[in-house]
Amino acid sequence: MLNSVFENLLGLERDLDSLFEGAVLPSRFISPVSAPAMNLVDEGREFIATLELPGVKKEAVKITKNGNALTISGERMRGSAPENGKWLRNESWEGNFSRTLELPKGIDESGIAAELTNGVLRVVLPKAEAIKPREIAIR
Amino acid sequence: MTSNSNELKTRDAQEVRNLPVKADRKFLLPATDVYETPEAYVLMIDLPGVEKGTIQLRVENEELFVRAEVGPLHRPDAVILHREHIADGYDRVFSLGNDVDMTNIDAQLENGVLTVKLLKSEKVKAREITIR
Repeated sequence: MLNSVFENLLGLERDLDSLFEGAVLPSRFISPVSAPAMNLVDEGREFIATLELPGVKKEAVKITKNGNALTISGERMRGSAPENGKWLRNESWEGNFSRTLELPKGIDESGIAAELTNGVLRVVLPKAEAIKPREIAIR
Repeated sequence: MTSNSNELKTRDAQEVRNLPVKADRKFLLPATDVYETPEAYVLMIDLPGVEKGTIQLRVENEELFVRAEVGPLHRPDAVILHREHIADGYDRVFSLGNDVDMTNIDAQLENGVLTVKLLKSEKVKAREITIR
């Protein structure tokens, strides 16, 4: 199951990391899924997709819809070291990214909205009336 | 009539609710980039989803402690369909060299990245030596 794969790779150890080591990326940081990490939840009246995009500015993200495919793409530029700087450790991901969602029928497309806060992109996909959960009265 | 097969509906709601719920929260090691200049060490720590107010940042005995909590991304009663980011928080300790000026540390949070600048102590800054 997806959760247990993550538990093994991203351990909970609280060990001491020296500033000076780190030429090789410790395996516990390597994400088995293509960055950026994404969660999908159903909040009843809407679906929510969240993507971890630390260090990514709003202007660097593009969300496009092609039929029932919603693609979130962009580029993360890692913070740069100044000319007289020397890298000691590189663990964060950088470069182009792209994730695609297949939207179910019944999404109210006019209501799709997204916001980027604290390095997390939150895409709201509201459900049209027909697929919203509703109580059914018993006659 | 067939519905589109799609990531948002890969799991039946009932099946997801039967997955074991972990009571303990997961604090993971945040990915960190570090560079060094003649004057300072600069750490860039990925803390996506973290509110500034939940970050604990402290130096003690040549160690830098970072701990932060990820804010809730959705309502507690939301049905989880697909889960890749799992951190409830981040926690890491860095051992610093003995050339850091503990009283001169700057930290700034922007776009989910915490940049910590540790200035080196005066006595170890590189400087040119003039030959008489």
